Amino acid sequence: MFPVLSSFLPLLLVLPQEPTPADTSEGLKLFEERVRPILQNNCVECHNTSQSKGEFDLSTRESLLFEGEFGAWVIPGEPDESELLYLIDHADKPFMPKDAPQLSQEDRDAIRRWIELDAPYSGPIAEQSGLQVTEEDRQHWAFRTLAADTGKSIDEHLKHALTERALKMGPEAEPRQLLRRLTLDLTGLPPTPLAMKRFLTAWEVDAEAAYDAAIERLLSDSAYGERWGRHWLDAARYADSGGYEFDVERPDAWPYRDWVIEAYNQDLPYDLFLRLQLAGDELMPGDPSAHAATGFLTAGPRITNQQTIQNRYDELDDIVATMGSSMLGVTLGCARCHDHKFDPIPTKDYYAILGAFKNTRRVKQPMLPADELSEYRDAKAKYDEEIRATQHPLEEWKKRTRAAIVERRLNKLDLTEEQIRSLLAEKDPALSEKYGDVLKIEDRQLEEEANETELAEKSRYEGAINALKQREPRAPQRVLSIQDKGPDPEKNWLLARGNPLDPKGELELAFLQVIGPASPEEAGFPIQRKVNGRSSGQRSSLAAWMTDVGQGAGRLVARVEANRIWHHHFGVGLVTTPGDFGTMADPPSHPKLLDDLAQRLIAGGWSRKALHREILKSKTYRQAGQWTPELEQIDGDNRLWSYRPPVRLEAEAIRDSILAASGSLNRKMGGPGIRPWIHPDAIATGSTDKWPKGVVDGPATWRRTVYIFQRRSVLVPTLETFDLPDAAQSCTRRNRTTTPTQALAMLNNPFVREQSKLFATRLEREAGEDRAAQVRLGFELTIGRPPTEQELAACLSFLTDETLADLGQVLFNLNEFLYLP
Amino acid sequence: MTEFPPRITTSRREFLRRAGSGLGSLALTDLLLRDGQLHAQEPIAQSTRPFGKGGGVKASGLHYEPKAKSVIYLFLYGGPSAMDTFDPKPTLDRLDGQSPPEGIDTFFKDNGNLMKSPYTFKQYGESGRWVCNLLPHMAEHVDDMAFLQAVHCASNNHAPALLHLNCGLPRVGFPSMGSWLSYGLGSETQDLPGFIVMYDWRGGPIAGPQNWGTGFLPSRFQATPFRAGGTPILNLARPEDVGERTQRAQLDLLAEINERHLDHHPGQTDLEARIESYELASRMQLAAPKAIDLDQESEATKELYGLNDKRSEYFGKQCLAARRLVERGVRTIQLYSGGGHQQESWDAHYGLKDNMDLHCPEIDKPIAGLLTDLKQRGLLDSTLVVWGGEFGRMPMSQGSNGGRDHNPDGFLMWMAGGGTKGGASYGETDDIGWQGVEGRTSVNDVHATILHLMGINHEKLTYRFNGRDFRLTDVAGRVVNEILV
Repeated sequence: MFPVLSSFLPLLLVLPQEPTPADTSEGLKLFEERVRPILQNNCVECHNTSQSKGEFDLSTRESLLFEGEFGAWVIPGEPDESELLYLIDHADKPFMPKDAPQLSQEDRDAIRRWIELDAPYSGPIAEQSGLQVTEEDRQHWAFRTLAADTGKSIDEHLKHALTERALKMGPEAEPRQLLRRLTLDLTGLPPTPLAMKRFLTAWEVDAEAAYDAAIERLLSDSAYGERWGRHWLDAARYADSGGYEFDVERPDAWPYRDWVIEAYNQDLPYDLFLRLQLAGDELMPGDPSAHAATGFLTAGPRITNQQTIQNRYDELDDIVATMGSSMLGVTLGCARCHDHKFDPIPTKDYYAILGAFKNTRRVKQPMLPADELSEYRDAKAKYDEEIRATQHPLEEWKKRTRAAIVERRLNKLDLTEEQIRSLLAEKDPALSEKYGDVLKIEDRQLEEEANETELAEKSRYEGAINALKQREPRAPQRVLSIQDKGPDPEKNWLLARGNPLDPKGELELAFLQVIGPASPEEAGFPIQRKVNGRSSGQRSSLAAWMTDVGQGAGRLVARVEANRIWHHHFGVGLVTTPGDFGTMADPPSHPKLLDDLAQRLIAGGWSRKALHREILKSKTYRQAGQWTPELEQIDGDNRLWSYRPPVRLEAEAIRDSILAASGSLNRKMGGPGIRPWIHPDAIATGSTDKWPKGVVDGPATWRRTVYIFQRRSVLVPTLETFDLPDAAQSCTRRNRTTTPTQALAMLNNPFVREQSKLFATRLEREAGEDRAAQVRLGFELTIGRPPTEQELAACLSFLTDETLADLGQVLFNLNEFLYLP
Repeated sequence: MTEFPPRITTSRREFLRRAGSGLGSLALTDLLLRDGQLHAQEPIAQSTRPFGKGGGVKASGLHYEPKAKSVIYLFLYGGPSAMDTFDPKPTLDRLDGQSPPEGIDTFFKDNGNLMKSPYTFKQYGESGRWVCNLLPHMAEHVDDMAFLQAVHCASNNHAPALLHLNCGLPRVGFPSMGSWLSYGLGSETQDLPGFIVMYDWRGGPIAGPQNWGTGFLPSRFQATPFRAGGTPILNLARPEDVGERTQRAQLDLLAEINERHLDHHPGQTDLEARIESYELASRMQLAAPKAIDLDQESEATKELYGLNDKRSEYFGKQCLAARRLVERGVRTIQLYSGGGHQQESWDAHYGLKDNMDLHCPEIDKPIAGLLTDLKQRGLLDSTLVVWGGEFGRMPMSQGSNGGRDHNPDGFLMWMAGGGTKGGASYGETDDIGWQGVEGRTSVNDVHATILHLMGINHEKLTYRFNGRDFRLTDVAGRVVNEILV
């Protein structure tokens, strides 16, 4: 709207400071105590030396009083003449501060009085980034150094708070409920009747040993990675397509998904897990799984039909914001346009850390180790040569046969030898026009006019080619990963208000000031070129900082991960916002416990399975869900963990439980995403169909839900209705809604109906003809317990008129089936 | 600095207990499951106004008295031209065939010569609005329409622009306006979803359901896509092999076992709510097909909406269904005209005239019929009708193919009913219709205005996600009072 006068301003800055008369001491005091903070916090961001909106720069008194094209905004000693007051009083437009609430009456009075007192300055107001990270900021519970391990158990920690309120921990859950809880929690599948039987038998002998053994069995089941890997994939906003208009499929994305699952199953140390996702290509060059790990950085949505600098910054913002909420529990994205409003994250920190990714590009890396890759390349080269050699006789045959056919054609024509010669040499235009076609033989005509001997010869050659093609070496699967464009960091700037067309000071890679030393050298993670000098090494430096407990973000990262694990075990975290540990987040319910768990995660070599064990073995985890009205008074939101409420299962666990109960679950792991049947109406919701129509479900699609092709523009409707996130942004805490469309899906969706029938077939097959036996097995398979007498009677009565499939479907709809006990 | 409303500290459970159980509590969960902080004094969702009576809004609004109870958003996907419909540019006639000004950035970067409108224009109504000869029926309603003539959005690319108009930011992952309205106002119907979308028979818009998604809001606020005939909602019809009796028996057995389970988990309102959700689902199975059963309508009404003309039949049915849904208390209904790509939508890159000749007759009678019908039923006062696309079109030809490229810098929308000032006009583009020069209206302004009419202060409707209080209007937005009564 207004021209920016930045080119004039440096001149103004060198003007000597006007001597301040002694009688302005009241004004100076007012400036220091009241006015400076108001201007600093509300105005200077847009009205400073490098950005003076409306020719208004209040960084110094001189610039404040500058008379530009619009006159001066402030006349010292003349508040009623000073336009500024009209703007902040909202008596004149544009209302100031722009796009923000009006200043309070007290603030406005202070400014008025200060102008009356000649508007003195005690010194310039810092122009950029008013936010200074202070020692107090560093003492925030999430950022400060971890307290030493108290050595107390989880239960001791919790009991302490309970006792203070005269509460006791609830009783232990029944063994059936315990095994169902453990199994669903760790694997996302219900316990099989056989596993239940064995567990109950062992429980009778030695309850503790049986419980521990169950934990070990489940932690080593590959289904564990499929469930817990999915939790991370939410935070990593993983999908198999790029979103936006074309929602381009990414057939090379899934190796990252499989890498995550495998990392959980192998209990890859969490610090390494993070470092590889940020810089696997630099840390372990040539290692395909390390390249796959960087899929974390390429998984975000992306505009593909337009290349603008704005779009590029949107991509970088997606990476930084995702890294922030998934790893650091800090909402970095907020600092893109202005200093973070609540957390000590100046915009400068945002762009400085973004610099680590600016130099990157997406590449599709073959998923083979170097030696196998070179084997493949050799084999392929050899094959290419062979195929050329094998194709050669066919080419020769074509030439020969063409000549033969031309000869046969010419023989049929009434032409003299001279005419023929002339025709072949194209010397006679009239002749060429009349008979030219005789000389032209398309491949199709070759086929039609060749004689039997010639055709037999041809099919011999083709046979050899086809035989060879069978042996063509298969191209390796590739993974959409990231690498640096070169050894030199790309120039990086702070962008004023997030505007790529308004770059300010140039920045070098730096880390969050609130964590510690910001420069890589000072923090002890100097940038070193990697991969034979082809990579800048910035991301390796960032990765080292990320997990270093001393100088880096390791303590924060450990807290965030310990809390995430707790969150998934209990349905709610010690910190209720797993992706936000900032100052606006509710503090942890048990800060010392959180620090202890973080310490133990680190001390245990960042083993997540070790932390699972500690939590799962606690009495807190093993409580029954006993709620009483008294508890409601004292611990209404259960922040003391005085009871255990049932938690609705995620979309994946519901679908997988149905498949497991009906006996149709195909446990094949990994590979390209599967696309089950979905309703055609759900496919036609975009401008082009982005899902195959007419899919017939079967074992190939009855796989675990984590393997369903996650298309950003077409979420499987039944999963979506159960709150599957859309992968547009990092999701660290899913919604858990209750809607009638969920009920409709469970009652009427063809998938549920078909599985109900398969379930009925299974019950008849395994329980025999006895109705009661069928009902009992049905209960065992779905909710892990036999029916009560009343329930059995109700079910048998239902079965007099309705089918076993109808009953099976009822069991799939039970709250007990849909909730983690 | 920014003010923050106090958090709702009452536990959800406690609130529900006080509010009593039964159906009302389901609507209340809508309000209470929110993690955000609303400034709701009295939850509007408790309004019990009987359906279909029209007129007079009883509910008190979230922040102030609402003018409109429902919105029908007519989305002309692809981007309709302003200068060829409601905002003719005589200067363009004069400059036809000449070079356009330097520096117009277009999507295809293939700027041909300035191109006059192929249509003739006539003045209508007391407001004297000029309307092209392709929209004779809509033209009769110009005195009900309030025009925003210089709207601008952030992208000249379909997907980001669609997302901007629908969700307030030109990026994926943010809640749509309809979801915000459901979140803020709850639902007035217990038998139907609060936010319904119907899209074109040629397909949905670019970016599909992201246009009506909930982003980070709980999924219950998402739109339910309805078809204008047959089975309107996914999974609404019983499986073929499940009769009415059987499903009833299933629901009864389910309730019986669930109730017993609940006895062991007293105070778990989530379990209670799920039990109730099955009954609601059951009612929806009955109510939804009835809501769009157009056989209930008279021949005269069908004629009014253009159902007897092949060209306008499809969109006419959707407009008529929209009125029936408004009568039943549905909060937000969004209809898409145009689907697929290019000529199938309003995206007139190749042959402006072919495009407009195809699409204008599809919508002319249906929209005119909708306005007439709402008015004669006394519903127009409480129903806000919004008309517009994701951007407009350029004054010059795209290359030499007689089409117009995207114009995000000055395009036209109109609103009718629901507290808008009929015949009003705000904003102007330059003489050739390229850029807004006066009264420029941002997408945030458009949203702020719609929310305002629905009784919501757009700055106070927030939701905490990943540590930030998000708004539909991000950090800006001004209510365009100039077009309000």
